[in-house]
Amino acid sequence: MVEAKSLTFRFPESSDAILEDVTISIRPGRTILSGASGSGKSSLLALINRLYPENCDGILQGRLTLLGRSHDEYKPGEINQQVGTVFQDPDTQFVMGRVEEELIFTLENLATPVEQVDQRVTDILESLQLNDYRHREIDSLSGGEKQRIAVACALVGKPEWLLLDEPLTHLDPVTAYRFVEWLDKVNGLNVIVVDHRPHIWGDFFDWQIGLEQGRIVQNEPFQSVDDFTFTRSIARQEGEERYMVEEVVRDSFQLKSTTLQVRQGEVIAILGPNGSGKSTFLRSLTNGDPRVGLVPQSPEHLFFMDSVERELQFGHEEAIETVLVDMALHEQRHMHPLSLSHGQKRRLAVGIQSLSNKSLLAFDEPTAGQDEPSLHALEALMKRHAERGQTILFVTHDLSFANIANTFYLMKDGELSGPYGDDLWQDAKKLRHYRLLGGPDVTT
Amino acid sequence: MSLHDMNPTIKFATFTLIMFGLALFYNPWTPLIIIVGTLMIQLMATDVSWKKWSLFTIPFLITALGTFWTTLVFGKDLGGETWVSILGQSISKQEFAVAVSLSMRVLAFTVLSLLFMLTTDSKRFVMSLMQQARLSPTIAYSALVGFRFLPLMQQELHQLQYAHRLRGVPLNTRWERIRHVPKLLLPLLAGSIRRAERIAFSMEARGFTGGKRTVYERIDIKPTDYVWSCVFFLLFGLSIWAGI
Repeated sequence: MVEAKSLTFRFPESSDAILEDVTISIRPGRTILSGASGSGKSSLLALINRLYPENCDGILQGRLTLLGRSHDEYKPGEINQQVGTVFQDPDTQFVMGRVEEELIFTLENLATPVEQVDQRVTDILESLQLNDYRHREIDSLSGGEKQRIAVACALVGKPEWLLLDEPLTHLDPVTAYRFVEWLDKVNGLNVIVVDHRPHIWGDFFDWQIGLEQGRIVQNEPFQSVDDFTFTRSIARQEGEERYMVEEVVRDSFQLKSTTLQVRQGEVIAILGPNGSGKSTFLRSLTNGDPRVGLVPQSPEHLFFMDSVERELQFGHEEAIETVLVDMALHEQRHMHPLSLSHGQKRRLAVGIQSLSNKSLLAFDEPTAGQDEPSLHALEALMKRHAERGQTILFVTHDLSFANIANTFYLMKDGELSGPYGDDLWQDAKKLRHYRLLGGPDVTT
Repeated sequence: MSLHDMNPTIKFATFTLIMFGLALFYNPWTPLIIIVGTLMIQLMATDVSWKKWSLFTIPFLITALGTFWTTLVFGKDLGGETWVSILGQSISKQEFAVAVSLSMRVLAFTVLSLLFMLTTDSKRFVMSLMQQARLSPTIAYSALVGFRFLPLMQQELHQLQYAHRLRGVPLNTRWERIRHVPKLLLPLLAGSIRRAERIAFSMEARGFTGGKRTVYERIDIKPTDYVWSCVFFLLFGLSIWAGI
């Protein structure tokens, strides 16, 4: 399907190549493109569905043949009849209000004769077992359901290929597992998936292509892999502190009040699926307690000044030099906080908190969408602060990363249970009950 | 024959013409007849919630009263016999008539606009503009995406305010929140641009290029649409006659 020969690609504003001397041939079947952030895998995908190079004025050299024709022979939108795409963010893929309208929108774009539209919508929903969703409002669906609808929209035009760009990023492990299981049942589909954490996909793929800094480093039959490994924090734990988490009642959801007993240097993971109330828990914990610092899922939400220096200096008179060096941000001190990389933003967020002497650092879903180096950087950062006697608490549905914690709590329907120690991992029944483990159906 | 089913473009054109027409007549009776007639149509041919309608009307009612009062007190002195005297200001009958005309006109505009707003589905309006008024699909669907983005932006605004409050920015009173708005604009804008880019890619990947496309849901012009149009123009004619 895709034949690339000595392909080089770069953005006009930079002289660094995003892809360099890429020679590959992607055959029918299921292929995964993996690699760290910035390895060029997403750009390669965008070249395949022809969003690039036009939309970014990118500069492309070498030969790229798509479905037997040179890439530049396609008119805009033409290849999208044969190639359907699903993107990573479930919230920015839809134009219309209801599922049916969204499918119709796609069929209209493909100039499908009006008398066929109704049947095509029925057919695709039936073949994907999504009949029940036909008249649902898209905004009322969960992330996993939205991704299935996105697949339906991509497939309704009967493409030969389906491309998925990190489709599991915003899903919790059980939802992600179910999504893969469901996709596995769709017959005769040629798939190219971009993902930097292939383990969730099990043995879904036939072929794997690995990229590193724009170059192909792996091009071979797929072998399922284990997830990245993380090791427990060994920081010394001492003292004891109590934090109140007050009750929150909103619509039909209720967060029960609890008191959290923690030790300095302890690393705590709060585990639970999407929608279990983890974020509400964090809000209630941070609300009004000056000892607690929060690093939001998007660290840039904390920033509102126009340079790193001013950001760190906001609201106090203390010297910021040590923190700047400590967080390896001294070279970026005059840059705008919003122009930093994700890792730098996170360090800046932590730096802000350490200047205000927080005794507990809370992280909201810090692992979402992070690649391996970035996860290990996060691991190191958390451990370092634990060793300095701060308490680290993070909410996540990432079970591998949770391994760095000393203590675990589980969250379901607004109720917190715990603390648990290591033995939690042997208790598969409990993990299933909390929708943290895939596999057989959840029984309660 | 509910007004909800009337073709949105025809409805829009009709109402716009009447509003422009209203601006040419300078007496209290023409707008008054329009107000009464519109409300009667609203009562008989729609299922608009009157509670919602009343809430929407409040700000316009205040505007109308304001117009009335300022015209009366600060308006040009038209001379003539003193009719009544308010706060030491002598007001003639002509001056009073001008003030009533102006405030009635404000109310007539309000009543017509609200009838349009409350009986027209925004999605159907955009679709109809695309089909009857040759609005380009690129603009039309961008508008629809815009509607979907508003709740997302609101959500992001709340997240930002929450995070900034945690950093010690005082955001408790209304004045403090307003003063902080400039600091929120850049992050909000950055977020919106990122979302807009993603949705644009997503639309293009689904074959939306502004080129040839079919139209599944036809919003046609029915004979009843013209009937409705005639009803409104008759009402307008009646109001002109009443004003002479």
